[in-house]
This record gives sequence, structure tokens and C-alpha cells, in this order.
Amino acid sequence: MSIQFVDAVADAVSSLPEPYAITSSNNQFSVSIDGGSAQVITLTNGSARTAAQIVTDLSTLTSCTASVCAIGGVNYVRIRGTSSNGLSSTIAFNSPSNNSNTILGFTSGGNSYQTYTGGSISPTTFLGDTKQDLASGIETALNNAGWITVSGHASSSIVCQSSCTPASQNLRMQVKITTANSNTVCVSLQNVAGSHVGSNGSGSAVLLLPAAGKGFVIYANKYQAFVTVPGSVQTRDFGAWGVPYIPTWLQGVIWESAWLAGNAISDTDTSTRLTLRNSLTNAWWNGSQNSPNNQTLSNCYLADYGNQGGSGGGSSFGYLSLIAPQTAAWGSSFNPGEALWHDLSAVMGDALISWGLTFYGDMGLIRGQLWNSFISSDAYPCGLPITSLDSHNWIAITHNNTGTAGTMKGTLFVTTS
Amino acid sequence: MSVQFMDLNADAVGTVNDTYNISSSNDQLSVTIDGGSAQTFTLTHGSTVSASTVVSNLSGLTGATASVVTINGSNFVRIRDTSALGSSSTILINAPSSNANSTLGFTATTYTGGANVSTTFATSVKQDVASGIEDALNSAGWITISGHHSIPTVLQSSMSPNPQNLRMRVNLYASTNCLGVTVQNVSGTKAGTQGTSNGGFLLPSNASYQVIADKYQAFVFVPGSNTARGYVGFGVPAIPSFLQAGQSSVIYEAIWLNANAASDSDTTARGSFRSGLGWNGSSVGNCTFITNGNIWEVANNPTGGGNGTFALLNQFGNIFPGTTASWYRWHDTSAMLADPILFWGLTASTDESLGRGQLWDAFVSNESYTIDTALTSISGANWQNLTNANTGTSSTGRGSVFIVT
Repeated sequence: MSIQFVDAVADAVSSLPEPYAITSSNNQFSVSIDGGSAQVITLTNGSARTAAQIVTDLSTLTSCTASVCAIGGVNYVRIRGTSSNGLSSTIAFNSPSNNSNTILGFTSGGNSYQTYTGGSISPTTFLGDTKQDLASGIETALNNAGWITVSGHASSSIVCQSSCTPASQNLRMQVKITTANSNTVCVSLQNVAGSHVGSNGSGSAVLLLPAAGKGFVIYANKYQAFVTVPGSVQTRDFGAWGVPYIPTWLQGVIWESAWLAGNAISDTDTSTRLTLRNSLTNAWWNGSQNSPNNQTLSNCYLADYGNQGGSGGGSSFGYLSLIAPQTAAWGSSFNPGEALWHDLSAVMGDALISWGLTFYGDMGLIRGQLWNSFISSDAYPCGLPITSLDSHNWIAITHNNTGTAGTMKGTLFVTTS
Repeated sequence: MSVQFMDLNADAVGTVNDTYNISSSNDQLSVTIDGGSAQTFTLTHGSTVSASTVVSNLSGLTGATASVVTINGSNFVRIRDTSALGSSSTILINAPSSNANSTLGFTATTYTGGANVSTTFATSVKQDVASGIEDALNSAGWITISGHHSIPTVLQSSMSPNPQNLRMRVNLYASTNCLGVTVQNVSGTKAGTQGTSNGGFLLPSNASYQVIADKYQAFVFVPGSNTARGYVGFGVPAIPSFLQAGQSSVIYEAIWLNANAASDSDTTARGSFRSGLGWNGSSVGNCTFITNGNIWEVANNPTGGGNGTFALLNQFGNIFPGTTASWYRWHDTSAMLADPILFWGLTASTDESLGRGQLWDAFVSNESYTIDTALTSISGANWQNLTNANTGTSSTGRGSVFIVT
């Protein structure tokens, strides 16, 4: 098992690719690193400046490093801090006159939610009394984890952006958090360019139900998030999303990858479905109900579906699913997925995540690994803490998943500190 | 994935536990390390000499270290070479007059650091099969206890490194049609049944056999096909640290055997690592499992099976793939690799199958490959696929076992 832990370094990658038209009206680059003084650099003017040329202009930056970030053959500008202090590692883009923020695609504004940080993995707890409380609570939790707010701070339509995973993985995503539904807050995924955008509405993506006095806990890091209601497996009480860790041989091969898993199909849904909250999959027919909503993004292919399945499932081997250790022999009379050691301790495995490329009917392939996570082959109640494993504390996301004839036993754990 | 590669140190452990009755008639222990000069020690006399006293007597050893190895509360004397040179690391137990070999349980032979062996030989009679296996195992680091190039033959594995401390013996004997293969512990208190419906069977008229072995395990098979009465595997597994000596739940004895026949006359290739990664129903080849003083066997094609029968670790997506495999490979369609953790029940096939350890020098690929496919240069080693084009079924996992050659 090789758990992939997030780093604690602030990392800002521009959202716009080269070439850049730099003129005297947009040639002022200003950043403050770790709360230090503003470092102002005048970029070289030119109608088609490359990311490499911008990086050269930024060679005198201190306490951070500028580099070219290549994503899918397209070059962006990356500023990465040299300190590794989580929320105290910061990259703030200042907004002097004639600044280059917009032309390069850096978020600025001077507020904490607009500052790139090294992030935190501490859970965030808040009350979701209203849809706006819930939407703003999610935004705040993501900001605490190292996401930035791109637009709509504390509004009815908020867009947050993850940090970019380390070179040469270079994955990132945005989520759109809206309150337009009658009952629920909707969270959908999209790529940073906005060229692939998951549906956001009453029948799509993650749907979360607020209520007076209802507490939410978000377990997030700068690349992923799990939204939970403590102890609850109720529909519209769970959602998760993120960009995965990519193993070395797929780095550069996978240049766009994001996933989102809800546990409902509509704004009014109350049916219990097969989700990451009660199983290791966010998939199809659970014996009585169709799949919850899912959205995945793989190298320009957006899969956006929900309410799928039916008895037998059909050609449905591409649903979003985690990979779990199990013995190679199983059957209806056995504990599915059972894989315990001689001392009855659980076999643990990497939290690999798979999905079909274009929709749930494609073959599910492993797209990467969840950050700060592992899979245990045993069943535990959600919220169960585990201390001091790999020098971290953990909590069970999955609830009492003993498996069925069609799903495997096991539990997803994520870090809390 | 964390492949467990065998070490290359020669390691000799006595088979008799303390206390020892040492007198002038058996007080000489003479060893030759790595081909050097004989080092001879006179042991302390006494009717109840402890292993630690013997170890103290051997404190002047050079090129090797003597220590006490404790297995389930019993103490044995261990001599371990300090060089890690595989077959060139050797501990020769000499046999001077009044030697202590029998008293301590050392065999007057050469224990080596072993090697990853892959060898093929022709067979026409049972002795051909037995001699071929014996020679291969000797090269891999096993010693012959009795019956060199004669049936029956008894061979003993090296002991896995401290604090794992597992070892086994294998018996090669004449069954009616086949060479019979059974396993037992070193003391002989738990031994697989030697009968026409128990243990492994290797038919000499299969004409050719390949052995892939290291000093802790071996796979004997007809190359290129899954031929009935043409496969037997056996060994002791690598034990993870939390199950090693000193932990609350310890594996101090773990021995497995897996074959592809149900009897000496079986003409059906039954379930084995030659065909798949795990079984829970009918048509399973004979197996033997020894675990901490418990022994049980799969014998003569039992019906029903159980989830304790035998399986390796597999990793899939949440929904069982059945015959339409999915969630088993990476984005680029490369196979997912996993540690080959072995699961079996404690006393019967109806017990829960638990992970008892991991195959040495091996990994599991979730992909199906042509039998005996060779892979080069993974983790610095070359490999051969043991499993025959296993795409999985609705009740068993897709995948292949690869072994270092």
C-alpha cells in the first residue's frame, strides 16, 4: 500500500495558456509570498509571449519558483512556493495598475479566499441551516483546504478551483456550487477552461439538503473533498469530488481527470442508493434503486449521468468505483470482498478509483488514486476514527459496508490530521 | 505492491529444540563457511544444555553468526552466514567424530543462500521426476534430508529470516502412477497424507517438467500447458511484520501445497494456480495447509468446497466483474499489480479464508496472459506467468501469478 499524501506547498497555475499578449497595460506581475513584501516584476512586452518567456521574466522571484506547466500539450505559468507550511504557505497575487493577472489567468483580490495556499487537511464543521449557509460553508471548507474561489464568493453561484497537483501530474478542477434548486445545493464539476462543464441543476451532480440546525462536516484537502452529515447515510446528505493522484507511468498520459459522486438523483430524492457513503462504488442498481448522479472528466471526455441501472444493470461496467482488495474466490454464500489477515486485521489497499471514459457503459479503467486515503477490506461505521496510522489520523467515510452479492465489503478512510 | 524477494544468506537451523544432552560423544560442532577452513567447537557438556549455551559456545564463529531462534516457545540453534551471495554463501556442516549434528538437528550437508531457479528436465519414470525436483530444489537452497536420487526423497526448505522463521519439508514418494508430493512440518508432527487421493501428483509420462523455485517455495509443472497431474506448488510464505514473532497474533507455522489433480489417476486438470487465483467450489485440485499446529487437506475433488479453500489476493472494482471483467486495469490498459497474499482456512475449507502470508518472489497481475509468458526487467528481475489465460469467472478473479525466474 502506498498512500498518496498531499504536500503543503502553495501552488498557483495560471488558468490561461500561452501565448500571451503583453503590453504596457498588463505587464505588471506582483505577488506576495508567505505574507512577505510584494515582489513586482515588469514582464517583457510582446504580442505572443510564451509561458517560458514569462517564466524567464520571473527568474528573480524569491521564496517561490516560476516554471512552465504543460497540460495536454498546452503551456501555462506556474508559481510554486518553496515553503511547505500548509495554510501559512501563501501566494497572493496583488493587483497593481496594469497587472498581468487577467492576461495570465491568476486569481487576485486580496482576500483569503483568493489567496493560493498550501492547504490544510483538517475537517471543517458548520451548520447548513439554509441553502446559502450550506453553499458558503462548502466554499469556506474548500478555501481552508487550499482551494481558491474563482467567482461568486458567498453568493448563490460560487466557483471554486482546486490546487494543481504537483508536476508532472498537473491535474486541477473547478466545482460550481449553486442554490437555484428548490431544496438542495447543487455541486457540479467542470474543467478550468470551462470547455467541459457538468450539468448543474435539480437532477444533476451532488445534491445536498440543508435544514435548520443540520451540521455538516467536510473532509477535504486541496485536491478533493467529501461532504458529510455526521452519522448519516441519508440521501442528499453526501457528496464528494476531486482530482486523483496519477502514478508515474500515466503522468502526462492522463492530463485531465476529475470525478464527482453524489448520492441522489434529484432535488427531491429520498431513495437510498449505492454510493461511496454506503459502499465502495457510486454505481448502478442496488437491488431496488438506480444509480445516484456521477460526473467524471477524462482527457476532454465528460461523463454526466444519474438515475441509471435497472435490474441486471445491462452494460454498466464503467460506473465510478473504487478498487478494493479481495480474495480471488467469491460466491453468493461468501462474504464478498472478504480479505482479512490471520489475526483478523483487515487487508488495506490503495484507494484506486476507476470509471468509464465517456459514460457508464464503457469499461471502467483505473484513472488514479484518491489522495490521503486508503481502503480497508473490513466494514466500519462511518465516522469511526483511526489514530496514528502512517503518522496520520483518519476517519471512515463508508458506513457499515459488509458487501452484498454484487458489491464488495470495505471502507474508505480519509485523513483528518 | 511490495514484492518479497528472498534473501541470499545461507541459513542453517537445527531441527531439534533444546534442551540438549551433550557429552564427550557428541560435543563437536564443525562448520565450514563460504568454503573456508573448518571451524570446530567443543560444546559445553550437560544433560540439559540450552540453545543459548550452545550459541555461547559458538561465539568464536567467523563468517557466520550463531543465535537462538524461538518458534512457538521452543528454542533452536541457528547459524546464519554473514555473506549474502546466494549459492556462494554456504554453511557446510562437517561430520567429525563425536559430532553434535544429530543432537542439534543439523544435517551434514551444505546449506546455501540459494538462488532463483528455473530449470526444465525430461522425465519418463518417477525417479526422473524426483531427481529433477531434488536437483532443482538443492540449487534453490533446499537441503536433502534423505533419499538422494532415490524414492522416497525428503527435502527441507531454508528457514525464512528472523523473526519470520518458517520452514517446511516436502516428500517425494512413489504413488501408483505418479510421483506423489506431500508436505509436512520439520518435526513430522503434521504431515500431508500419502495416498492415491491426497497431495500432489506428477505423471512421469508427461515427458518434461519445469521447476521454478527459491529456497522457500517451488512450482513444478509441465511447461506450456495446464496438464492433469502436471502441476504441484508448495512453500512457506513471507509473513508481514504484524504477524511475526513478538506480536500478539503470530504465525509460527505456515505451509501450503497446491496441485492440479484430485488423485493419482485423475485425468482432469483441477483448479490450481496453474488455472486461476482462487477456488471455492468443486473441481479443486488437492491442497494441504499447515497452520500453527493445524493441518487439513483438499482431497479427491470434494463437492461444495468453501471460502476457506485457497485464494490469492485480487483487486477489483466494487461490483464483481464476472465474465465481463472491468475495473481491473489502468487508464492505459496496463494491468494492475498486487501483492500475492495467500488466504486459506485454519482447519477446514469451511473456515474463513484469512491471509497467512505472501508468496516469495512473486506478484499477481489482474490481467490474463498466455501460460508461461515471460516478462523481463520488472523490479530488476525476470518473471514467468504460472497461470493459464485466466480471464476469470463469475466466482473467481481474473489474473495471473508471476514468479521470478
